[in-house]
Amino acid sequence: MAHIPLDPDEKVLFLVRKHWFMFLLEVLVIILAALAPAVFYPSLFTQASTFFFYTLWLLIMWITFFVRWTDYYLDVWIITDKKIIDAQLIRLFNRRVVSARLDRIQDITVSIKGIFPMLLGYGNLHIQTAGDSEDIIIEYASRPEHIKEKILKVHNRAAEERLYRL
Amino acid sequence: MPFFGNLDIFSRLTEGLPLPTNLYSFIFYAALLYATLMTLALLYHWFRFSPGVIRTSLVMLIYLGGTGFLLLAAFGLMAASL
Repeated sequence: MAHIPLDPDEKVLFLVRKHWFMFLLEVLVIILAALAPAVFYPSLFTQASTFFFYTLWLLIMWITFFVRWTDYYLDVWIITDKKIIDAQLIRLFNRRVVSARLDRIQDITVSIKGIFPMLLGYGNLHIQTAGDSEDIIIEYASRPEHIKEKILKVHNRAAEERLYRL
Repeated sequence: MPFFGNLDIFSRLTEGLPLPTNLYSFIFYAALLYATLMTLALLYHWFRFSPGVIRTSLVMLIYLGGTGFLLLAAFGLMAASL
């Protein structure tokens, strides 16, 4: 995982991304915006000048699609055998990386609200950590209950290892 | 006198009236500049933060293919509009 600070002996266990449905909603908006001029003003294809402006509009929509895809793809939560890393691309040239040690986790709350989250099985995980470290919120994760179980399993293992060391 | 004269682009387009030739090239070059800057920004993010070179290259090839095609189409239509 490029540009994520990991210890030399640290292993990545799994990655969590936002549910595909969240990206699909953004794609639908882009497709509607791209097709709207052709639907409401069909004669734009008859003149080269209007077709020229429509081509530029399609170019803007094409680039917007890839900017949204980049934002979706680079928002990732990495669970290693030592910590949870929350790497978020807020917008282009604005990235935030927060990490919390697994043995500092105090509680994980899962919230699934709404019709689509219930039907498609995605929701938020709120990971509370001890001390002053920032809580981690995994947004729109698919199968959040399953992810919670997996995190708790590695958390228990990390806590046991810490006890043995003491 | 404004750079492109006193004109309402939308009304002229809907009425089928011609636009000043320098307006098309100005808009095309603005779009070319925008596409170039956005391409550089996307390339930077994908090659710096992406997990794999093959996946990154594939996404960038599709992106560059589409962008190049649309820019070429716009250039052709600009030439046809002059």
